[in-house]
Formats: sequence, C-alpha cells, structure tokens
Amino acid sequence: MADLQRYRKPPITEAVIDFGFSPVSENDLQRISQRFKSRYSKIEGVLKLDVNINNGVASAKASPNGFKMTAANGCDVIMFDRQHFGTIRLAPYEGWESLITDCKNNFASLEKIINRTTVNRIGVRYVNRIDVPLAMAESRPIYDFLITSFQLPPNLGGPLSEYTCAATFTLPKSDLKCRFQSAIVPSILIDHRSITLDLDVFLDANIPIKRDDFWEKLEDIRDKKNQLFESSITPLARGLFDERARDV
Amino acid sequence: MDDDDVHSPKSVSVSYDRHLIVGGSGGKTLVRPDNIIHAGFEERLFDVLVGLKVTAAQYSMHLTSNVRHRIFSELDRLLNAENWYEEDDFPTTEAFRDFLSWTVYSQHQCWQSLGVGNGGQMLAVWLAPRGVVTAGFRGNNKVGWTAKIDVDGVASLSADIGSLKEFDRLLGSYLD
Repeated sequence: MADLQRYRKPPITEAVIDFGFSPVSENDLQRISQRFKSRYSKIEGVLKLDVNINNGVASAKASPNGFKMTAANGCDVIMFDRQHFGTIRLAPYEGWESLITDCKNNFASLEKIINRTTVNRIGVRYVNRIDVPLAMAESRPIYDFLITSFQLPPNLGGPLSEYTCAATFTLPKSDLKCRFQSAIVPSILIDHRSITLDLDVFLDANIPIKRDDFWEKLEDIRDKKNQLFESSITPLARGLFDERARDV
Repeated sequence: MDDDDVHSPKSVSVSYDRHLIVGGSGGKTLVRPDNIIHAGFEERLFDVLVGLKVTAAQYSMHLTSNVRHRIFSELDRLLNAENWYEEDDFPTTEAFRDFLSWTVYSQHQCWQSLGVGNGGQMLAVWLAPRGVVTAGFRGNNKVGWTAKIDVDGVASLSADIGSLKEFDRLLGSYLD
C-alpha cells in the first residue's frame, strides 16, 4: 500500500485524528483547555451559530462551543468541544508517526478527564488540496485528476469551473464509514485552480475497549484512508505534488 | 400562526476562513479570538504571530524548508514584544497571503529582510546588483514598490503600484 509520506510535497493541508465521546461538563471543558495551554498557547473560542428561519425571516445566534488551541509553530492544533477532541497537524505534514505520537500524548492527558469507555467515535480525516496550474485546469476535465468524481456526457462536457461532491458510505467488508468530499475551489496561488479531496474515515460503533485494540483500530482506519486516497487520484494529479510520479 | 409555519431551528456552523473541523464531517466552525483569556499586549502579539504561521501553513507544501524557516525567523524577529510598539499596525492576513502567493509564484525569494508597513502591509527588501528594491504587499493583489538603482553613477529613483505578477517581472529586471 502506498504511504503518503513518500511524497515530496504531500498535498495535505490538515490531518486530523479525532475522538467523539459522551458529553462532558462545561467545567471539564475548561479543565481540558487548562491542561493543554502550555503547549497549545494560542486559544480561540469556537462559536456555534444557530440560524433560525421563521416566516422567511432569518435570525442567528452565536454561542460558545469549545476551543481551538494552536501551538507556537502554527502547525499543531487541537480543537475540542463537549463531545469531540481532535489532534490536528497543518502543513507541512511530517508523517503519520509524528501525528499519532501527538495524538497518543494528547489522549493520555484527555483520559484524566474523560473515560475511554465513553468514546463513541474514532476517526482519521485528511484534507488534501491539489493545486493545478490554470492552463492545465482549463483544458482538462475533473476526471483527469480525480477518479472519484462524475462524468459529463461525451461531447457535451469539458473542463469545469465549479464542482462539489459529497458522499458517505460504508467501506466493503468493514465496519468503517467514510465521508468523502471534493470540490474545485479558487486557488490561493497565482494562476492555479485547486481541487480539494477531504477523506474522513471513521468508526462510530463498537469502539474497542482494550487499549491495544483501540490504537490498532486507528491504524486500520489510517490504512483504509490511504487506500481511498490512492484510489481516488490519477497519475496526472499525483504528478502535481510529486514530480517523481509524473512519468507514471 | 400555525405551528407548521415555523421552521425548526436549524443549527448551522459557518467557517471563518478555514476548513478545520473536528468531529463532524459536514459542519464548519466559526472561530474567534478569545479576548477574555488573552487580553494583554504580548498575548495579542503572540496570537498574531501564530495566526500568520497558520496562514503560512496553507502555502508550505510549495515552499522549501529553507524559505519557510527564513520567513518564520523574520516573523519571530518582527513580532516581538521588545521590537513592537502598541500603536503599530499588525500585519494583515491578506497582505501576508499576497506575500506568500507571490513567493510561491516567483523565483526571486532572495529578499534581505521583511517588515511591516502602514496599514499592516508586508514589506520586503531586495539588494540588487546596482541598488535596492523595496515592496509593500497590500493585501488586495497589489504591490507598491520603490527602486533605487545606480545608472552610470547616478541614483535613479522609481516607484509604482501594480499586480503581483507585474512586480515579479519588474523585480526580475533589476535582479537578473
């Protein structure tokens, strides 16, 4: 199985390992933020925005809903609320071993506040952004880059300027699920267009209780996520973030 | 009013500028600085510094580790409580984004130093064979630049505003 770490310029913008658990108290939420603030020193409140539409009139109310905390390097982040905790690595991605080590360390601290038996979701989510030079993006259809996309009728479709796709499915012969999202988005680079590929592979039932099984399941989730990624992109797309793959 | 006329409140989360999500698959989050926790000047400076590094993360797969470390080192030097006055404008995220996207686009990453100008512009200085070029990235896909170039022993001064791509072409003519 291909390993993302072999790529010279991994297109990963965010790698997340997250846990869902039974709701903790507001007090516990504060305790979690205190526990992590020495490493993740920039603290931001996350707001939940409730939008109410009544007779065509919309109103919105924002309320506190957890924290986002960022380390001084600007790359290591945690986000959590009363029911979720995520260990996040932004680019540059330094590999699974680094991420899972951070995750295990964070979880060891978290376990002093929440009980592992209450964990009801474990997931590995990678958001990839494939930056395509504009000349190439404007002359090729989306399925030249992504295998998992849709096809337009022959002779009726060409390059796309907008595209969004989302699906959730259960992986074959597995209890794992995947939330797949991709889109064409305006690029932050000059003369480029970007394709996002967001793969969230997770288990939301029968979470292993034994510690070794728990972490082994996470490795299994990561393997499935990698297989999905490799199966979703074309050699052309792969060549955009690893020049060694251009001749494949 | 009939109950049927009332739509159930729908919980929606809106992303502020990123795509960083924990737990849910489809939701997005609105993130705000927590001023209750971080109220001091040094804390605000630190938060701006970390925020700029987070912005740089979006470009980092296109930057060599050397260029990335130089940028981070300059940010650490600039956004330092000992060098900063409270009345100074913080660099804007938009200006820094312009600088980064230009850096990825350009081959001229040999700037001497970075700075912060009025209104949060991101400044960069290049030493050319016969002079100095200074640029202010403004955050609206525009760059203002000045060039002081020695021509036959006479200092020639010029200044203009243009697009990121125009500036790259001009800088190349001074540096190459």
